[in-house]
Amino acid sequence: MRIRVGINRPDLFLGLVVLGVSAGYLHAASQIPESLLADGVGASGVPTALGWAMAALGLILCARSLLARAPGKIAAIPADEDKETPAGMRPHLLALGLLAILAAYVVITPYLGYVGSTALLVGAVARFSGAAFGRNLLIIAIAGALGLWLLFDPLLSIPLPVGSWWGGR
Amino acid sequence: MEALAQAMHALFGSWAIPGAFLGVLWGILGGALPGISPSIAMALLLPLTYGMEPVTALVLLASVYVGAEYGGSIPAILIRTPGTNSASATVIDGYEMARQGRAGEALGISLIAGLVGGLFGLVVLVAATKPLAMVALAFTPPAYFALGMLGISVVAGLSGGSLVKGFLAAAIGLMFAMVGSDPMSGVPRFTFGEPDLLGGIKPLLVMVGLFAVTEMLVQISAPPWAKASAAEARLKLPDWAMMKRLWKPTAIGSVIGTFEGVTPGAGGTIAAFMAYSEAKRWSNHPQEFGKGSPEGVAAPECANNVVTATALVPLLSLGIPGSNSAAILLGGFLVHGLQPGPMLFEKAPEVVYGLYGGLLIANIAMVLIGLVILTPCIWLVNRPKPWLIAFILALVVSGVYSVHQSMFEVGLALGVGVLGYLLRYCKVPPLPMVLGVVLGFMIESNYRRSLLLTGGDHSIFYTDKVSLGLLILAATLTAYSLWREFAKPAVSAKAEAKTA
Repeated sequence: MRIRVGINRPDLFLGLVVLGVSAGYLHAASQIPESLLADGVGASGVPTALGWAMAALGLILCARSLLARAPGKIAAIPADEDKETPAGMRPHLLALGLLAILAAYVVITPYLGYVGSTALLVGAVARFSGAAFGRNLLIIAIAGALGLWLLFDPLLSIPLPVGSWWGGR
Repeated sequence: MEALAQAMHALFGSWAIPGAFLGVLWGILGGALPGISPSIAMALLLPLTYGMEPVTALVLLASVYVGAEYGGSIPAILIRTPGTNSASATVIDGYEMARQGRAGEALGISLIAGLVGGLFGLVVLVAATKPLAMVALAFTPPAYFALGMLGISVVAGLSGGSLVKGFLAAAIGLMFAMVGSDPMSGVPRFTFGEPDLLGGIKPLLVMVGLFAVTEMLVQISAPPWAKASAAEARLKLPDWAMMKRLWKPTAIGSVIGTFEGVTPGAGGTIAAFMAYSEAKRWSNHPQEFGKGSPEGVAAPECANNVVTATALVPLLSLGIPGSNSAAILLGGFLVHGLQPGPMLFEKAPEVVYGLYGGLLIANIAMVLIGLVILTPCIWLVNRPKPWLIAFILALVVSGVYSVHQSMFEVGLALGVGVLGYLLRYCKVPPLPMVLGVVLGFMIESNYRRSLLLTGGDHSIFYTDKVSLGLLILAATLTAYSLWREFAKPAVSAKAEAKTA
């Protein structure tokens, strides 16, 4: 077991973000209009209390991460955490890439329709996750999208977007 | 008798029985995939239940939970990779048995111990839920507010080590619950001019985003799963001699699973490890544990299946979900306009009794499907991970879209998934956030109703005896958790300093 003396940076960062979010939230809560039907607490009462509670939690997180530095307030690192993490930015970049594909899906579906955009989604995600590019990728992506369309549209009677490019709404 | 008739009518008058079989099948397949927890398997199906009858939908979801607990033991035994967290304890002896060429025997023990556990848990569920709900029938608005606060204080047990982060997650969940029209005056709050937000953010979107989307964002960079060999696995049910040996660990698993299930925040994983540890302590063959002991498989598998039923006790009686899977089931109730809790037995008894009956069918279905599912499971586990991620995401976006035919809601679920990813990176537990979303309306509306009744006098919260009792319980839970977080580490550090 090692002894760690220093700031808990991720928690300090989280605490600062929480403080920023709570400030924005309190501002948004102050903009909530009051109704003639309002009760004593009002529409903004609970959100305001919540915003202050968030701010307090943010302050506690910041204080805890900073106080870990003070003499006598040393933090012992448990044995299972006592190893270097291989982290790096790669996992986050991969998650970001996947998110970009999903965001593109949300944007293009109203135009391209369900089957086309879902086939693109399946193919793009599989390729991005490491599947080899080739005929199989195209066939499985298209067949998968058609299979999902069959499940939702004719079987479960849930209308899926046709796509404005093909005359749908 | 009347309850039995209602259960029969609910089951046979709907698609609940096929739903139970389908749910178990989906649960076993989902549970067998490492990374797909029971709650994710349930969340993937949640949007599809929107158009179903309530009984069918809830039986389907609860059956997924039952099936996933057995499914999780399959890769745990075959490839030393637990399909679900609660199957982690099964790895210890299950994989050792597989290495000794006894994988089929271990899977058979897991199946039968799971059946015994599931049925025992169901008996506890039926016996305990209604009396608890009857007590809660006397609740007034202040008591409901206090109940909501008690639910939030449960965060303490769900925080995974940091109470501050647990409360932070709950606060984020409450923030989500504040979006939309104000429950008392109808004034729009935090909608930023977006009409799609006027109806609020549905718990379903939060659950799907937080569990399924987040998991896929994490899984994309996780290493591939190990491959399972089909040749070594042929299911073998325990014979009479083995059954006699397994009664003690099964009984231990049943008792521990009951206590851990009804305790919000404990869940199947803790139950499984505790049952393993106690089974070893009380075993006649403790030296075999860790080297392929059948008892080391039976105890945790029984315990985590007991939890599938007993975790529903606080949900059905008080409306408080104590685990991820119970939270998804709560989402299933909300999707159908039903609020679990004291009034559920009055308003929709057929749903509750139908769910009980469905759980019985699900446990039987688990054995029947379990006997034949092994080969398809091995095939599925061996599929390339990129394709699994691609199809799970396609199912997520299709399912979310299907609820209100809204791409805005798909975007919202993806946004929640990103938030879940960031929270996971910061080690903030996700379940308190779900609690905040589902309890937010209850807390705010009853708080304000109570003050309307008294003209703004807060003393109603302690003059109402039920409210006072629940608030004291909530404060005690929170104080205990604070002590555990701040005082206990200091005591342990001193002890460690002494020994160093």
